[in-house]
Amino acid sequence: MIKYISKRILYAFFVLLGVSLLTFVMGRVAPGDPVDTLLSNKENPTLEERLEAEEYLGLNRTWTVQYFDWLMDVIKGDFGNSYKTNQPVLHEFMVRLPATLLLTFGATIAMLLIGFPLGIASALKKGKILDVGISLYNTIAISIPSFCLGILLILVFGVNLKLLPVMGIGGLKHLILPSLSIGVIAGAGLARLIRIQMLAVIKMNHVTAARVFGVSNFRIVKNHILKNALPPIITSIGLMIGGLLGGSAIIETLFAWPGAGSFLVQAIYGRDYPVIQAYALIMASVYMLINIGVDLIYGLLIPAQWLVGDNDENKKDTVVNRDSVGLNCDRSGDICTDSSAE
Amino acid sequence: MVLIVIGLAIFAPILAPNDPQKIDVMNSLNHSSREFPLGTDQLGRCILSRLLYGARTSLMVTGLVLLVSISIGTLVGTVAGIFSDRLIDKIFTALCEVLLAFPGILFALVIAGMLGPGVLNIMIAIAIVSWANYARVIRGLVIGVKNADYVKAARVAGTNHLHIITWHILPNIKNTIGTLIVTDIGSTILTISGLSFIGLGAQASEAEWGMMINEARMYITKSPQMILYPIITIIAVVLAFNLIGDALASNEELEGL
Repeated sequence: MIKYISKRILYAFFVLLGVSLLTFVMGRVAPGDPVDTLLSNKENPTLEERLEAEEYLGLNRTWTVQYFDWLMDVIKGDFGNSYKTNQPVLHEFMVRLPATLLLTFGATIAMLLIGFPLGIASALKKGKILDVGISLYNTIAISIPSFCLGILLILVFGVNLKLLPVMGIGGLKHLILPSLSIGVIAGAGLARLIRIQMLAVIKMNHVTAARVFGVSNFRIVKNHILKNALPPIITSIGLMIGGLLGGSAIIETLFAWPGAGSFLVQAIYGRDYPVIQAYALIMASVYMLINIGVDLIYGLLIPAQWLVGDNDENKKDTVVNRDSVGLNCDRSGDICTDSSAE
Repeated sequence: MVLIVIGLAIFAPILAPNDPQKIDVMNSLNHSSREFPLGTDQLGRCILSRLLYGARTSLMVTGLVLLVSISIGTLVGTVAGIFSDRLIDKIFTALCEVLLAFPGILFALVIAGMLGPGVLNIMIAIAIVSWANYARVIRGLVIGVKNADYVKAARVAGTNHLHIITWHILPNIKNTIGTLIVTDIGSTILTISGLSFIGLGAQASEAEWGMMINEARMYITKSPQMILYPIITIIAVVLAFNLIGDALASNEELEGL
């Protein structure tokens, strides 16, 4: 079990390393010369002044050295200062991250509350009118961009009925509309996935056998179908939460939610590169942590997974596992991209 | 439905009742009238015309993005699939893993943010993010086909790799690739309009759906119809593409892919 977790953490570490490399390269490729920014208050910088500035920024060294320097700073928690406010970026993020996590949490709850009942109901009533209705609803819901749903919700509940606040952060009431705009759509994607997974299990022999033996319907669903359909579903819920995290940037902007996402959007306008780089790395870490957490839950629910993870000696197994599960949830990944992204 | 949308986009200049860029402040925020069938926006521009031209932008950008990412994906996927036991495959697979391990939309946001606002930049961002998925699926397909008897026979007969790829492998997986593209049109339109909505995509003068919704947000109480029309348009178009994608996917038995 420990072996399994450490393997996951090692894997996460490599992914983060890849992400850091990518953001670093993007920062170098991005338009705008940092030397010019630094010297912007001088009229006509001489060549010496330029060289001095390069030296100061460390740009005269090879980029590998620059990368490792930067990486070391990042590991120490120093993402540099924001160009705009001149405050340490990490601090600015830590102030805003809780709001984003709160929103993601709300959206996840909404997604689960919508996804599970709909998915299970439509799988059990396959082909019946209920299933057709739910499937139609799901298809429509995943076609709605989250910001459009957000605006519609604002129009109905905020402007016309004046029931719920539409701007900013506050009590539970402030959380409802933003969470719903993300969660409803992601929930539809989840429901589709649950339906497909459950239908695959329902066809299996052990379910028919249980039915023949006269096991009650409820117990069949709970013990025989759900338990077997759950693993890929849980894996893709982890992936979907990542989509929710990213998609929250758009919804945060719409609802003036003071989270990391709207901070990113402002930083993009201000061409505030350290903030953008920090956002990428911090969000990647949060996402990895969530996924490791999801894996732990998974292990607790289905203890056999630990054994599988332990017995197979090396990475090959995880890759195969990921592939087979990955194929199943690709679609859901897309759906969650749609839903939350836009 | 989809054909109608594409037709509307192509013939936008003929069909549009007014110039989408023409500013007429005297007639701003109007309700629908004979001259402006869906009313006007805050600068007095015709909403219907802007929607029609917006269809051009959205479909063209979506088409280009998918074309680029599927080309890269096919290239990488086929190479990795053919040489699935060599180092080059390991490198590509690792690269894809890193890209896929990170939620796509987050990545697209960050890349688009680094490059700065602009239609071309969001196209680049989405393409960078989405090719890996295709590459992985296509790699799997290629490996599946590669082990078929007729490919082995061709190999024994001394056919070279390029010939095998173009004549034996690609024709066999082209339908699946087509289905992949169609199922992703909807979500790509959504991503583009989302990025435009937060101001990363089309700039103010261009007509784009996400952008229009963003502009209309300020006038939500004064003239809700201005925001409703683009929303309805996006939902209808994406729904149409998704329905076709679903139908194709169940035909190909790709459901759940």
